[in-house]
Amino acid sequence: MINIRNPASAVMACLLIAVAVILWWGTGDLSVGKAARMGPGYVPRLLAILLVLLGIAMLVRSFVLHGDAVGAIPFRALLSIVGGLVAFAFLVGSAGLLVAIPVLVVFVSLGDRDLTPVPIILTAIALTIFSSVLFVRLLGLPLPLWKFGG
Amino acid sequence: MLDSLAQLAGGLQVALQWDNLFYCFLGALIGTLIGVLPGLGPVATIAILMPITFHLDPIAALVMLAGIYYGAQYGGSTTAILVNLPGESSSVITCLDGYKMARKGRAGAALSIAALGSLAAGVFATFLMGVFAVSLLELSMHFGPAEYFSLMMLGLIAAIMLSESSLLTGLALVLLGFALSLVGNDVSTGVSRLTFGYFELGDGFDFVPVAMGLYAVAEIIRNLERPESRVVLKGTVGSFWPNREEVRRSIPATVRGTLIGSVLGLLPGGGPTLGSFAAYMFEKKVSKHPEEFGTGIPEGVAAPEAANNASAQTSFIPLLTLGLPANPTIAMMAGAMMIQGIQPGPQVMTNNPDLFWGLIASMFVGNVLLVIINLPLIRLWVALLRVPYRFFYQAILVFCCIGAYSVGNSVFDVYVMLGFGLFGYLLLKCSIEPAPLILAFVLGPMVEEYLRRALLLSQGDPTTFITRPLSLFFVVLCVVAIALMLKRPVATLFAKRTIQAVDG
Repeated sequence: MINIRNPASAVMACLLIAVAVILWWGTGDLSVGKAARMGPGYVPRLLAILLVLLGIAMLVRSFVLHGDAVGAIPFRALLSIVGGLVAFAFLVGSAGLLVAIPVLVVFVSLGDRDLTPVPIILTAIALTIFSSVLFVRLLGLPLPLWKFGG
Repeated sequence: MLDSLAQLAGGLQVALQWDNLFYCFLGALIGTLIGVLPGLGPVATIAILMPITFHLDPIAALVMLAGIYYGAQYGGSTTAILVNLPGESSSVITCLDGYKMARKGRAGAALSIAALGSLAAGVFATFLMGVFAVSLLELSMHFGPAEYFSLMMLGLIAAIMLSESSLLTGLALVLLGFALSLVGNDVSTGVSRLTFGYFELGDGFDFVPVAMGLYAVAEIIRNLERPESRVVLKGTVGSFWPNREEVRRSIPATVRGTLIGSVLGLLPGGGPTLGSFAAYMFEKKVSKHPEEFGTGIPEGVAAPEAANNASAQTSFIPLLTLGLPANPTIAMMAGAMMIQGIQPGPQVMTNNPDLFWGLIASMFVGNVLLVIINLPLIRLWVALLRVPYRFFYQAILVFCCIGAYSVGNSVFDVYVMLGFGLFGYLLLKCSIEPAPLILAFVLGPMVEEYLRRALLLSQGDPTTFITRPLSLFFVVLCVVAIALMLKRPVATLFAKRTIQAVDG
């Protein structure tokens, strides 16, 4: 039975091979040309080959060389950040910054177990006012503040 | 040389104009702030501030961003000395002796030695840049596509050496960075590559959301995962005046640190982190009492702090003379220049002399301002260190979201930032530092372009890289660097020593 001794190396190896496949497949219809006159597909193909070779080397290493364990996945932190950013992306265009910022702050604050509701709400209000004034009013970035009614 | 000095004097006039002076001060202040705060570095900060610089005059924008960069070197030392945590990666090594000095009640003296050493180094490096920029520019005239290609390879290999990963992991990061840089329209033919139907990817991944993801978002997830333990030094900072003995020991160390830092800043792939490590190691080597290092001696603070400031400044030289960003922070500066419509490279000095000399001269001014910001205001920074991280990260995320959105006025870049944030977290989880990846990502289009041109000129003959003398020189350095890495992983060695010393 062969064990993976270096999880970080194994993860990286899979990533490299996956990227190589995407490169090869995604540039399949581009002309390759030759070294003296390279087409747009030349470098991606070359890179895909190098990625696969390196991926194999790292896969071999992950069976041979010991590495540190990767550790548990912090679902709470990850979910709060992903949720917050997706909510922001979704709301900034449809509802405006005055909605998107507080929702973002509340979401990402949930990632920290020790935060209680009152400081979260205060932070959300403070950051909304500060960012709206600084970025939209003073710096004139073209971000919608409020998309409802007037 | 006299001509350069006259130009530098002209630059000083530009730097001393009221608005440039203001932005220099602002940059130095923000730089100190983020330098003091662990978890937020210059790359992420410059990315966040990028949308603000759209509205500024190019000189003001670059003066401010440069101030952030070298200001962070000052601020980083404060955290290293008082909290035993590196505020920036370039002050990792300062923790060793700086914190021990603070424990002995010499915190004030250590802070002064760091700040004044940085000032001396900064002034010297600025002077050096002014004097040698012209000669380096002349050297760069001899650069053809083959030389550029080999030099970029050397830079990337240097970045791998410096990151604390193995050769294989480093190479993997570089190749991934190249792969990411391929997305978008091909420079030579205009054919769209790997965009998979997303028109937002026509110009490739924008650097700003990528850097925000890798450096800010990933770091935040990491910090949420492990509760922080930050113990600010109890008791007083003590007198800022170093005693006679400390002065006597600091001065030669500062001089050596400055020289080493200045030279290593010029290397592609080099910069403050490399500079500070090398200066500390060298100081230990030449010292008559190497066993005293790590016990809280002034040389151990003076040398790395002088070196990191000197390298932060000289690392602008490859950008301004060759158009090559040497490290991720400088790559952000390159991005800021391009937003302002200035192509980094040898033409900056001839086309925008005010910008070139004004930027260099602003570093004189900025360094003086930094000593004022850092020493008398030390209580403010100490107070700031007592504020827990959880009151900062929401603000960082809000600024990142607004910044990412403003890049192209679309939510696409917010998703790009999120994607790279998750990827960056995966890297951190595997204890991999993203610097080689981001450098390869920035250099990617240039690497491809110069490879194509070099092989076009040589009619497909790859020996062009070793038959041209200057290119051969870089190739030999690459081979030596790889051989060194295979023999003994230098960076890992550094890392282990640091960790042992910090623990102990």
